[in-house]
Amino acid sequence: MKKYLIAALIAMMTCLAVLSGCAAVKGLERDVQVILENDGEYVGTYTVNQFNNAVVPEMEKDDLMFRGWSVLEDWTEEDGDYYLTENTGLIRYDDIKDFVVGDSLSITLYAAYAPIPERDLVIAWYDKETTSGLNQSYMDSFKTQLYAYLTSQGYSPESMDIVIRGYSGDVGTTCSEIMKDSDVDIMVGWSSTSNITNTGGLVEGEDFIENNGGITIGAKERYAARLTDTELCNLVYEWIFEEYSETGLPEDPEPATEADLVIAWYNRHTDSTDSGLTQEIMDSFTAELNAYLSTQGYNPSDMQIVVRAYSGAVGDSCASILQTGDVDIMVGWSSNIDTTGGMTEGTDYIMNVGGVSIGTAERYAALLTNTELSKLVYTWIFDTYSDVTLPEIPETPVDPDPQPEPQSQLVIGWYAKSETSGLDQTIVSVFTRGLKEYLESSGTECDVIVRGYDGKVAEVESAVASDGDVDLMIGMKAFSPEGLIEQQDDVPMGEKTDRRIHLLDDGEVSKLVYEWLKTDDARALLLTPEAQTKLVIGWYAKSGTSGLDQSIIDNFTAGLNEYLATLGYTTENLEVVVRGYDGKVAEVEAAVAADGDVDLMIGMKAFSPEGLIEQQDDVPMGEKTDRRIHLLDDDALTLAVFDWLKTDDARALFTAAQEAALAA
Amino acid sequence: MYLKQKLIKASSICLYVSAALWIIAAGCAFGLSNYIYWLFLAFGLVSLYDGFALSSLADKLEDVKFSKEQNIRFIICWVLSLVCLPAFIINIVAYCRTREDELVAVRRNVSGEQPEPAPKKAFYRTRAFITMCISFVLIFILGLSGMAFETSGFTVDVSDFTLTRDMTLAYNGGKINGEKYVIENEGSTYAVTMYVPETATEQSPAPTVFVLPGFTRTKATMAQYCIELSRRGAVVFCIDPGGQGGTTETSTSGANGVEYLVQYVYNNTDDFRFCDRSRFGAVGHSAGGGNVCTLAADMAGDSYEESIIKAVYISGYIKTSSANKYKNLNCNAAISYAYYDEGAFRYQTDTTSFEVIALRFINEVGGAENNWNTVSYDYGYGDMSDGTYRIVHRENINHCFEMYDLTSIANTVNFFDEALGMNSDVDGSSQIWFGKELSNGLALAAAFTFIISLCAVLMKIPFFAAIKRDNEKNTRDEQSHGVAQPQPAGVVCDGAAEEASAMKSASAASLAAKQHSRKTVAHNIIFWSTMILTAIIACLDYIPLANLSIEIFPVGNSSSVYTYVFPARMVNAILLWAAINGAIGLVLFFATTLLENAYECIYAKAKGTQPVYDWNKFRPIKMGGKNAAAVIVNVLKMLLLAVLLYGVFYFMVQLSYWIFHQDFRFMLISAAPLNARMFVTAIEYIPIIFLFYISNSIRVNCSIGREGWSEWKVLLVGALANSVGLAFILLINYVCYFTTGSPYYGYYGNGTEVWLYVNMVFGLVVMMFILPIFNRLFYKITGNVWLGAIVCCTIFITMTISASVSYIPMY
Repeated sequence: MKKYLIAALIAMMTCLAVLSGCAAVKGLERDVQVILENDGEYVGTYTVNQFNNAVVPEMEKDDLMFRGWSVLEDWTEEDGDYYLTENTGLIRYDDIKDFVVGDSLSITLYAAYAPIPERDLVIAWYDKETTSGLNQSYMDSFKTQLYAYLTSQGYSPESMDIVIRGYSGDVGTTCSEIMKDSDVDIMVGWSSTSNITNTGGLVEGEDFIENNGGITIGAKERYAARLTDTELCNLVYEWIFEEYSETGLPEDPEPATEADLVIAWYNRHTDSTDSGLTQEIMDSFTAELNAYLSTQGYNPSDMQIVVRAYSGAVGDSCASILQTGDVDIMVGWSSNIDTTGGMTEGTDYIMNVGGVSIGTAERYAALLTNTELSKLVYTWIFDTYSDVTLPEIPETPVDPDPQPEPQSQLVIGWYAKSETSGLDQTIVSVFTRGLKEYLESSGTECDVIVRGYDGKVAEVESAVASDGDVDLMIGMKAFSPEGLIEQQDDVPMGEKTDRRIHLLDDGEVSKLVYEWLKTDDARALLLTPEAQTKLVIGWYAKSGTSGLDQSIIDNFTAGLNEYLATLGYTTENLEVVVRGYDGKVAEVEAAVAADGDVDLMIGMKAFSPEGLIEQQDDVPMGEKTDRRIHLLDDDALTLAVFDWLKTDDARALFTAAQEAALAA
Repeated sequence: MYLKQKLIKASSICLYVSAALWIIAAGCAFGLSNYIYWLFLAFGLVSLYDGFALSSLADKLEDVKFSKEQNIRFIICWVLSLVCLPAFIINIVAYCRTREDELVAVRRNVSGEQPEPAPKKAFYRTRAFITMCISFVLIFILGLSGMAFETSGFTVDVSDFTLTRDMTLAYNGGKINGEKYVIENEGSTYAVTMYVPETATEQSPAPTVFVLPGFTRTKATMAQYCIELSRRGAVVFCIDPGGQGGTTETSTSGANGVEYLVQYVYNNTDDFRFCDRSRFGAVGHSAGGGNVCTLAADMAGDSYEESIIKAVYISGYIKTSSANKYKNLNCNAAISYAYYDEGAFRYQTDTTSFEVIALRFINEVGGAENNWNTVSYDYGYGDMSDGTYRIVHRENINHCFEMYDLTSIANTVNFFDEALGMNSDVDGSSQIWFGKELSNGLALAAAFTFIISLCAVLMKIPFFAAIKRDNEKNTRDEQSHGVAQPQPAGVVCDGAAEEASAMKSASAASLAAKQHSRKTVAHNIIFWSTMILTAIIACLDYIPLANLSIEIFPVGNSSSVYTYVFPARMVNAILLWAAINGAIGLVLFFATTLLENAYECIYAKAKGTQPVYDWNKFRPIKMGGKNAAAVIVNVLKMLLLAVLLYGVFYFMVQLSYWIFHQDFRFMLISAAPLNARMFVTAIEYIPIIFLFYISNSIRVNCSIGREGWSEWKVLLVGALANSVGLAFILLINYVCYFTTGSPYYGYYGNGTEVWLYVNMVFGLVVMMFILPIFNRLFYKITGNVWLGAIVCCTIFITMTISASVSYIPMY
């Protein structure tokens, strides 16, 4: 019993010690305040400890290179790196722990600069032997050979600033450091382009110019990338491929030919990948192909059949094929032309089937184009070199994820039964304008058609179905159209609060507008606008120019009043002023500006008033056919009237008198 | 002289404690690369040996006044006790005591009458049987308890399925399609566990989260995320990565399989209608964190609306290669990186450090460049409604325990709750997963108890009982031939023996007493020096051997090359360590025995007495049997028993899994259901690692167990001796880490990363502490050192392999 008690006591004390030890760990952290100064100016204060680094700004100075932060106020390169932080953009506890004196927990560091080194050539190598096959010994040998080569080319490498620098870590880390150093010309030892871009974060065309494989400087076949375009860099890059590659620097892809048939074959023979194809084998293949084509009624001697070799890694060879763009059939690759090669089934190739033994290995053959000749040859390849039954070749390439055509038209239907939907033309006009502004601001080009539907729900459903092009419907509630995708409930419209917005189409613009209609800004457009109490319509009273006269205007005014009545406006709640302006255009513009209350102007043409919002061109008025209607105000009613003026009924008012006269 | 004796004894105990403290200090100094550790070690040894000497002196004290020789010895010991101030002071007090009262309570160790032997009990009333039954029942009770926690009170349906190539092919025509999302190899499969809360239905589909563990971990180690997320209404899928757990695919393709799984679940609207496809999320820890980042980037589409993954939580992974994908994410995202993450030492540049990566994380959002200069932890940047939300967490924990940290789990759960609109009213800090962990841990203890007691029960069966009986018979035969046995203190020879044998016994006892007294100091020095030496070797050679394992087994250490030859990359380090240290242990055992007997020979010759050799140390190693054939039969029986116990153990694991979906585990120590890949892998490792197990069994039973200590002391010393070396690895590593910010064992040799091997030590220490205890218990049951070593080796190594990664190409 006593032993158990002692054991329990020891266990408890151990637990307590561990738990308190955890808290004590925090006590081991030593926060040091680091103050940064640059040329006597305060930069900032940061706190570091064993577990916390500080990201600090990197200074700039003309014609000098920022080397980091130093405990010495006047650091020079002669002082060496000991007094410098290891990184230029990061302060670590390790950087300053040796310099924090006594109990002080604060230190000041100063920006350190040095002249920008003018390097002739910088070669980076991947210092991870298990991956790159490179180590210092290999690189020393490389350097010796490089110097010998440069000497033979008339250079004096001993007097040049040539740096061969190792980078250790993973691909992401090393590529980031290379970018940070920004002085590397050539990278050796890394992997394929997809690797240094996807994993390394480099951008082809920005961070590097080209990346080619097949070089063996160390124990493994790897890649070399060219980052700059200097003469020396290009020279050395070519030399690397001459010296360390069996296949040499890949030539630029041949331009697309007018060939009748192009067959690409994979010329790769490594420990991990062997296509089994050689030039000799392919020559024999070509001969057999020609013989076969002859039996099929073709004359190979009149045809241009290209059998082209591609070397390098799968990714690079496939990229090269895509770039060339004229290959019909690929032989010798494997199943991974999509995953590793970056090709897309249905887009870049039609099918890729294995079990083909043209050479010494069983590989795959891919069909890239759908011509009669390519299909014929593809079938022949399987009949001749494979025991696999070739699946049926689709007639047209099947794009598993076809890109939809961009939506060019957006049709919005609205329930014109105002007493039910709460919507009227004023609201719709304001809404339409807001919608167009939104589409413009979002960079969406699309024609907008806003169409009203009146009647019972079933009738509206029928009409919408019949039209078949409505993308969105607003103002309905009990609406169950075919093809309904989604709906928004309880949307305030006009004086109603329970309306709905129905999405009937999944086009990009439809969905975009549908989402926009969820926003407060969009919904505000569907509410009843402030009532307008005055509508002023100006007309160009110079009849010989505008085509308008009093009779037309009287006719127009009557028609306008009828229309306004449909919107609930009467003489009691709306003052309608139809005012004539005569004189020259400039005089009219001045008069309109002086009056300041004109909402719409009809009959002018060359009219550029301040505050012009929109205009309708080529409006027939009287005998004229080129008149314009200018919108000068964006009140809801004005907008509604402006839209009404686009309709045939409204426009007929300008010509009715004329037509009657003609009829008479 | 009683008090004087007590004082000297107390002084020796102080010196023992001081020795331990000096050695710990030596470890700390070693961790700080301060060469003063040599001095501390020397002090520790001086303290220890001084304690032996004083203890021996106290035992031999017959008078309160020292004899001349004793005086000299005491003074020397006293001076040396300067290394322990309390002992020094006590020794002064002891030395000054020149007079004592004679009132001394003499404790007579001679017992009176022999106790009557206990009456034989029926087998069902024996302690072993009762223990076996209780532990058996406990396994099931704890299984049920674990299940209750895992299913959140039976409100979540938990089930397993296997993802195959055909399944991914069948649903490759949906929105996620292409060869990239189809499992490449015909026979490759992925093991998946699915958690479906009862609230997730076709009518009310639930948010869905994909959980991915890190390197060497299985999906069971992420159960805490699965439980807490499913408890709050999310459907959760957890998958074993390539080469780990029940997954037969060995590569890391498909972002370690999670892309295949997401494709399958997303496109499969037949079977997963309860999953809301517009609310998919993913969380991964360590390498799993990198994988889910890849997943979210690959399936990002062109906008948040198009992105398959709407929320991603990247835990414990800040590699630049992953950071390069942040700009491609079109979803809400969180990262967390433990404040004490041991792996951070690799990322200390201005392109790789956590602070820089965190800044990139909040700035490189959706292709746009924000301009934050500093990162505020636990602060949400951006907007969840458009997938630009970013948050960075940094919990006060280390790398391998981050998945078990309450704050870390709460952060994860709260993130998904908000990002996926789970609308749970259960706060993130309210967690129940540890109920499962505790249940499973106790089940593991119960399972071990069951096996040990089962062994005891089976040993009562005549068929197996012969093993022990023949062993004991051999022992009695040896004793009756006059080979003096050092008798444990407190036992007096049977007074009913014949006079001749009584005289022999008396002679033997006398010789034994002499032998005992002659062994006291020299033996102690050898014994404890050996103990310390093996611990130091075990401590210092672990990392070099881990590094060596990478060079010796290069093919087996690469995730891209599959092999049948020692394919468990991380366990290869243990393989070498066990083989080397096991061999050293055996050599030391036999060498010290030889040395002791050689010393006895020289001493006896010098004294002109008869040497009394002690070869009985080897007795427990021998298998009993009247002849060679009988020995072979006993060996085969023992092997059969070992196979039986191994089989029963894993049958219990499997049974518990079938019934309750629970295995036996506690954090980093686990016994998971067997699968063919892991079993075949384990078979390769067991024979070599067995060297260590038998070495340990011999040490604890043939050496420590023969010191005449009480049983609990034998178990304690054995457990400490076997684990303290590994514990010192942690001490060295973390003293350095918490003092400098970099672990002691970060890089080794040619820049090999070895910090992950130190993470393994956490689980290893516990197993090495338990091992001697089990070896001792099995020895007490069977009378030989073999069964315990075999059973423990097979079970422990299978457990280790199952919880690690194996690149064996078996489907």
